[in-house]
Amino acid sequence: MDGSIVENPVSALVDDRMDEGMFRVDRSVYTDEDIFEQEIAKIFEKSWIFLCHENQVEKHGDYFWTEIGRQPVFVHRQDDGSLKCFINACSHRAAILTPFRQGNAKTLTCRFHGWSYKCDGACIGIKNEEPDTDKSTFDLREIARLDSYGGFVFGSLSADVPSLDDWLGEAKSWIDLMVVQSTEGLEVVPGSPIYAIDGNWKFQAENSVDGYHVSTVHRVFANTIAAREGKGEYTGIKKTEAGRMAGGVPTGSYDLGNGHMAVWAQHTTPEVRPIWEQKERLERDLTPAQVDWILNKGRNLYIFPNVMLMDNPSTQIRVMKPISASRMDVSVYCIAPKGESDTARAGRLRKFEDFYLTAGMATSDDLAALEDTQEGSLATGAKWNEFTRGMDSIIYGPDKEAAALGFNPPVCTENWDHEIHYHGFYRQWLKMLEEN
Amino acid sequence: MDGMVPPNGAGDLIDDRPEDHVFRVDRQIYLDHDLFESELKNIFEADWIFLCHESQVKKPGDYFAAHIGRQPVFVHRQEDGGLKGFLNACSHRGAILTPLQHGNAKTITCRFHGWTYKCDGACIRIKDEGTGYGEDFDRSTYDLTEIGGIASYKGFVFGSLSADVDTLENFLGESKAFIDFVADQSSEGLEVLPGSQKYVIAGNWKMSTENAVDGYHTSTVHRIFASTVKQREAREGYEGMMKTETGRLAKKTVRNGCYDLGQGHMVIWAERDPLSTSPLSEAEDRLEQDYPTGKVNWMLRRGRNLIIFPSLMINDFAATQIRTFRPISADETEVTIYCLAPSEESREARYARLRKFEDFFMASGMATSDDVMALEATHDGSRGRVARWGEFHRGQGTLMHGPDDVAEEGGFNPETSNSSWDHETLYYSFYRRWRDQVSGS
Repeated sequence: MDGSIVENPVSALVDDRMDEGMFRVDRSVYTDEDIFEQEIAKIFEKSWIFLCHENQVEKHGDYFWTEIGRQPVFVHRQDDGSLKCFINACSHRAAILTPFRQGNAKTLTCRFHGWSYKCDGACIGIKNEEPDTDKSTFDLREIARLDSYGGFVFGSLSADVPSLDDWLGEAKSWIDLMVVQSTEGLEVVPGSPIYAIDGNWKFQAENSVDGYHVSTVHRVFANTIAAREGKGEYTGIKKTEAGRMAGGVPTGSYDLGNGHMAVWAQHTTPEVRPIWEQKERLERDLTPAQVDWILNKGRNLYIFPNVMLMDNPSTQIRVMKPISASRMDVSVYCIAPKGESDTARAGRLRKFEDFYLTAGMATSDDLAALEDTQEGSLATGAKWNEFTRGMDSIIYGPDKEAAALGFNPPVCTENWDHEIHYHGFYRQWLKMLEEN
Repeated sequence: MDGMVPPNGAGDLIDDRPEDHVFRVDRQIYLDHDLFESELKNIFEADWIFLCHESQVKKPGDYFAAHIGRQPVFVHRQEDGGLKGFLNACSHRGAILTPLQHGNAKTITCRFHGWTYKCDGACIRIKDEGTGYGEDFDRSTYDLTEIGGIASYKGFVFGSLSADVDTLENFLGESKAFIDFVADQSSEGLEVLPGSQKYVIAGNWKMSTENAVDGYHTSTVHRIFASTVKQREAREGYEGMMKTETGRLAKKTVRNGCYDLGQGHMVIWAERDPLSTSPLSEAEDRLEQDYPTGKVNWMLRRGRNLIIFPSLMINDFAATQIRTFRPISADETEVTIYCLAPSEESREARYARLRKFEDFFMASGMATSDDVMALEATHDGSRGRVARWGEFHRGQGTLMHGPDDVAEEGGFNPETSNSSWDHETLYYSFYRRWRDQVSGS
């Protein structure tokens, strides 16, 4: 593109001709820095962005520092139990206020010139304050919107967004499938790696709901696990659920609207899953469809634009932070039902480490694939990324699995290899970039 | 400037007034990111760029990954012995296809979603093709994209993204004679020796190009190299080929010179002293038999650094070397170096050649590291915008149009000759071509 946005409007980047069986995206959407700047301004700073889980800010004074697009913000638990979120910049010289990524502080004192702020953002201390200073002029800047759903906290820099409920839409029933796994609530297990990928954030968004790469990229993982378990040291919950990597199990993909997407695959050995120990309770408390979805179907959910909730080999929140067109940071958190047995927790953590960490055996292969894709996208002579696989078997409206659970995706396919669910993502992306 | 190419294009950046004895370039050409984009588009992606040497892709299935500007490409040796060049991006999601920098694969399978391509670029397998595309699905739509042109001259393979380019021979022009001086050293062909080094310089690619044919810095920057090897050789008693040829490093003891070969190609040279240190000296009789003495003088008795526009260096001085400069950004250049040698040379000569290569050229060597420092210092200094101009007028008093006596002996016809490799007149056609191409003319 070379900065020539004017000659080449964003609408030309998404070639959406369903009547002719064509949907493709210009690869410069992954490499062009001007497009990236527009994404920051028109997507990340204009929509609901996942910030943290309530469990990470449980007690009065707990704070959690994250970003909305490139802007640093922090969530702070108030005296009355509610949450507020502020721009993470001292009113004096803009230094980051939170000393750690997360911690507890009923007042925050800036480490640069010592100004202090109460939990509610009020400026309460100015070092060597001049007489007649109106400290309230220097109160912290609150972000425009903050809300949470099922414990998942979202914020928006823009006030002009729909309600969080409306925004999450059909993704809510997928969030519910995580939330109802515990009667005591979910907890984010301490310890989380952050890693950088030399790749565009949309590659990570795509990859999180790309079933088609599993049998290629994660064959190495599957072989390694099979060899390890062949030695007979792993039994029961310690075994890895490997059916989806071998292929041949029922799978599917959903365009959930608003750019949200999901894929699922049937488990062949659900009894190795940490949640299996709660089967009886789940059957007592939930509908048969919910139980089936929780126990028997591995699920990856992507919520536009920056968060993924995964319940496949392990349960995970994955958050993306875009840095530039060719770089992002990714944070991964293991999330688990409070009160599960030690055996289940150990099984869950080992599975989390095996697959998802950069030191794990699958994520590292994903990173190589994403970085290869970033680099290859510089070959502008091969311009288009097609998303046409599955074009011959689109289902409009819910399929039988969706109907059973009671959610209503605009588009489904009965194969997670298919690429139709990306259409909604790129239409949402284009719609937001085209808005002023 | 800061993001602003002057209204009349790059013309204002090259102050080219030979009648006033002025030739200077605005230092902004090393820094400006818009100019850099224009260089990629109008130079690197619009003309022939060196990709590899044929010995690196000898057998059917051998591939070699390279870049044309910022675009990843690879060269693939075909079953019929021909070469093809492709964009290095899977037709499905654009992932780089070649698993390694170079290797052998008659078919290449993408590691992301498992699509497979034959040597000739044909898409021959799509994972689970039967479960996702309609009846009228045509796999050939997903064949790899070939680059606009690929050609080789005496084993040096060049590619172009654009099909709208001159023939490679016309592009190379007078530089062909200097490729011959290297390529003809072997009756069996040259080979690129295994092992190569890549390093990144925090400096603009044009400074690396300049440096490659800058004789003037040698006695300053490489004085350390010269005194180090001198001490080493006195202490350890190196003999014959193992000695370092240092005549050119000691100022003004050997004849030297420079040529503007036209079309942006340029060369510097110096007499070898002593000749016995050259690994090629063992082939003196064979060369005298096969070639006229005038050509042997150039092949054997003079060291040469050649730049082929815009970013290939072929070097036959301390050792024989291919060096490429890959522009990453206005402020960053990736350099790759390969040692090149005649296939038939003796073990003794090969050994000496490699040691000389390591001594001088590698990032871990004793001379390149000093060059890198000088180039980074120059890049940094160019930010001093008030001192706007880099002058290139040294040697204007002795500038000679056309060939001098030794050029005639070698049978090539430079645009200008000059009597010292310290001189800077060889850069003129380089910057004139740069100016014209960057402006899009």
